[in-house]
Amino acid sequence: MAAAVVHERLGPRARTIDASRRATPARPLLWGAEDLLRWAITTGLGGIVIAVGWYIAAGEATFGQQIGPLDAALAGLLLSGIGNLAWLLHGRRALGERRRLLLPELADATTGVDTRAGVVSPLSTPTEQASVDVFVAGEGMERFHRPECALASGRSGWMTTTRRGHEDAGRLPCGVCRP
Amino acid sequence: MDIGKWLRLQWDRVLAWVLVVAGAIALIAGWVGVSGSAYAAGQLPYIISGGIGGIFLLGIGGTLWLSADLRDEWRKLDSIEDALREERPAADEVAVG
Repeated sequence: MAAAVVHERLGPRARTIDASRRATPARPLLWGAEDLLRWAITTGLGGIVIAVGWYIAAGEATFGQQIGPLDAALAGLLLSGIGNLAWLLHGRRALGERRRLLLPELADATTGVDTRAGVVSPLSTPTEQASVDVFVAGEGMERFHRPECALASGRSGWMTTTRRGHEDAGRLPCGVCRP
Repeated sequence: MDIGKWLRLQWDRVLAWVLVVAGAIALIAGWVGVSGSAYAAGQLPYIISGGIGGIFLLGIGGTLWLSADLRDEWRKLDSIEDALREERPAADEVAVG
């Protein structure tokens, strides 16, 4: 109901926005609002506890009375550390999952497991890579790639020829591996 | 390159450096404070503010720096996804035709 009112108020502009949103699918985020909130709470709380610990300790006259605030400050530091660690681990995990989803062949490629005939397999050593000046592409494809390119990894039936050959066939260099 | 644009693009790394430097300054200031006090009761507030506070700032700075690296890698995956989207329709057309 509310959406309909907003849509009516915006008129044709809203339709343009809707169309552009459909055209470009939403990208996934590395960290969501929930992760940011969790990190902000742990870090903020840790910082506050350290500041309060310092304030109380500075007002005490004897060492014995300062031990409590010192422990509290250490606890604040620990809390902040846990928050930072959780933030980074979540980021790493999200990155790994997306990499696996996007480039499933890459895992095989990097371990050198895939040795099927006719399958484009990446080259293993830099020396090997440097000595090769041929590139790969699929029949009817618009781009050609380096053999070790993530977009070429695991593809079967792709042809291998020189840059000139690909350019004569009207192919452009891949934007990822930039051959 | 325009410094304002660079700062906007690299805000996380800039902030990380600021926090790391602030943390290092806090540690040094804490050490100076502790070395200038003869009593444990006078040294402890410096340990908390300079020592623990400095480590706290260094931790946040390091986290921001590593986050920036992860974000860079995420953007690379964005470009790979775009490239795959460009390639796959062309491949599908060939398969159908």
